[in-house]
Amino acid sequence: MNMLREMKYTAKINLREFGFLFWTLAYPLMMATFFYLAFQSMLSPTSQMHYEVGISKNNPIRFVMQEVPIFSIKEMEYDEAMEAMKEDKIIGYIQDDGELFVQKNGLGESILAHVITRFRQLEYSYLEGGNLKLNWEKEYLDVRSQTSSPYTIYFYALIAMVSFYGVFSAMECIEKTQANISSMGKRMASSPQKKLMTILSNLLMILILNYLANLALILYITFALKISLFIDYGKSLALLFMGNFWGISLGILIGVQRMSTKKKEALAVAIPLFSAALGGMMTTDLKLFVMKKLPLLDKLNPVSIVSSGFYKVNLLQNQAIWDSVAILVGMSLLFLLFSVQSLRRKHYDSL
Amino acid sequence: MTVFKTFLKISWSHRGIALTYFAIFFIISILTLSTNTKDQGFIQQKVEFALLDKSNTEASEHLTKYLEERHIRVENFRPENLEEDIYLRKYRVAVVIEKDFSENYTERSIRVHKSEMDRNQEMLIQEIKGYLFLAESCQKNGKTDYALLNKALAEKTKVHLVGVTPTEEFNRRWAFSFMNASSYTVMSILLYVLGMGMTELKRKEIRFRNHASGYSVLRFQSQIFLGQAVIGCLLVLAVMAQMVFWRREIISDIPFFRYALNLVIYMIALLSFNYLITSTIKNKYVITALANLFSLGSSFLSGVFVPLELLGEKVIGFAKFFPTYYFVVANEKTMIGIQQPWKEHGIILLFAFAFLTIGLYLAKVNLQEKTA
Repeated sequence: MNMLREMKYTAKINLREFGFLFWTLAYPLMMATFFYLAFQSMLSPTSQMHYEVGISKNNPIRFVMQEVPIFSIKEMEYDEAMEAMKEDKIIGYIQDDGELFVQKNGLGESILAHVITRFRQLEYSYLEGGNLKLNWEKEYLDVRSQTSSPYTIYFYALIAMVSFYGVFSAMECIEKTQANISSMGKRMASSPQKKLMTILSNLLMILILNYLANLALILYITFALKISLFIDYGKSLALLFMGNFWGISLGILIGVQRMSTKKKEALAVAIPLFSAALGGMMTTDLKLFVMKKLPLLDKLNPVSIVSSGFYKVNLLQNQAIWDSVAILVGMSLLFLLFSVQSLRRKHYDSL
Repeated sequence: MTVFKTFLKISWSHRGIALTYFAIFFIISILTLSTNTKDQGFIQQKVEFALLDKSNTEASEHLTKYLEERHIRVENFRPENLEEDIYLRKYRVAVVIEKDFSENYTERSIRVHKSEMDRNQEMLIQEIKGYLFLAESCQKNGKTDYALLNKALAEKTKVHLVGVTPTEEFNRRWAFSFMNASSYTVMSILLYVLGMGMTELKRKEIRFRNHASGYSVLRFQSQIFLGQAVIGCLLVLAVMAQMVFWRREIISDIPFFRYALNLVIYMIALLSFNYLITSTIKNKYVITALANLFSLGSSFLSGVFVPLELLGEKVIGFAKFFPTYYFVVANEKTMIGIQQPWKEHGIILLFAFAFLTIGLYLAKVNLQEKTA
């Protein structure tokens, strides 16, 4: 009963606190909305590529270009074409002799140069007695396409980051129990109440509240923003739980350190933020860079472990996530072990 | 200058978070350096690909060599990871040449994995298809004539680049992206560090001490403002120094001082915004929350992290309510160099004026309420 009462008080205190409500509930929802607005157009398959190309009037390659679906050709003179290129109306201009003029090194320009080159090469092969009985409909390639947008990683990294937000409350909870730091700690040290039970019930409630806030975020992304991120809910929720557990363990570890509250707060903000940045929340290039250059850091980065786990089980049907989860659990247990060592059997000469 | 010194001391005590933001910016800057080029003429877009040759025939080796010469082959390809690697864009296309691939160029004897969401892969797919078609056209008596194929492949179209060279283009783009990314760092640090400094100075006990001291309100405020300006200027200097540190050799080729001017004007708007926040909000948790929300939110919606051309019209319409949007547009104009960004500078300064006016008004209202 005592435990339940403690949990009830923890819930009341946290739910009345602006910091807790903002960071665990409002902030993630707002961030998800920002991501949605920014990446809206990149979450579904891209529209067909299409480029306008200028061509001289009697150009023999005109008939070939008409058959290439991504290009529309416009007949024009050289001077007109140069102006059109400057105004981005066409990506390139093909002269009678097959020479190409482009304004920059873009994808469209590269494909255009490739098509013209290939035409010249086939022409050469034909003139040199090559095989002309070609099957124009032949499918050489067995193309397998993936439809998952790489931008979903921002959402996964966000969910992973906020799953660690129990770190703040856990840190505060531990600080409150230390008699040399807080007045609440002094009262607790002089009361007959068992410290372990108080700490456990507080942490359990923090875990429940943070987990529920994370679920609210997932529901918001799925039903309000209509982004389908989760298919395997069982494994995803287990991963989310592990993220919460890690965050709270880190909070406890920071809480027991002998440093000023300001420094502890700075650590609690900096660690999830930095991990999230390395895990791809600000740009996926950063995650890729860490994966390529510092693979160990990526394997130990908690945000990366949780977000990679999310996309592996939900988008790629790849179930090889448990090694990374074991690292997360191992780290959490290690944090707890260090914390317990410095928390237990504390006596004060005077308070 | 006691207030000035104290303010700087308080701000310095929050260096941990400031350094975290700067470290993130530092790492993002390293990333943008990796695609440097020294080419002066047209260069075809190169696509990163992974390849597994199960056939090991002359035909497959010729194709592999051809692709390696024209694109970037990623080493250590592990087929079991290909879905994840393509999702993360470690490479754009995975090519698996099956065992039954031979000079008959059997249908579907090459498996290609790609992402539907990625346009760059199209270049490589077209290249492979075109190569196979050409290779089949170079067959004589059922055998590929590699001498003819090589001669045909040597035929090239002459491409004239009439715009800027790839090196110039890269340098311009790099400076533009660098300056845009700096906006997130400068905004986060200014709002967080200055916000924290201000809340500490507004603590009840400190306010009582201030009232009891011989310092006039004007002297007190001007020293704080000086402290804020010094931190702002140091940040601008740190950003510009980092630019010099990374790309000393291109500084003379880019409008370095115009970019610095854009950042200084943007910083003025941020200082005013900070004043607005700190004159109305006393709770440090709310300030931290707002610092995060505004910096990340405006960066995502105003073209800092996602290019403006990829954002929807409605999003851009919304972004126009943030000075960050005008900072990005000013940087874009500075990069292109055709127009001067005076209009954007004017709008950013108007934002600064508006923030300051509202901040002063709200501070006055707060003071009146307290006096009453």
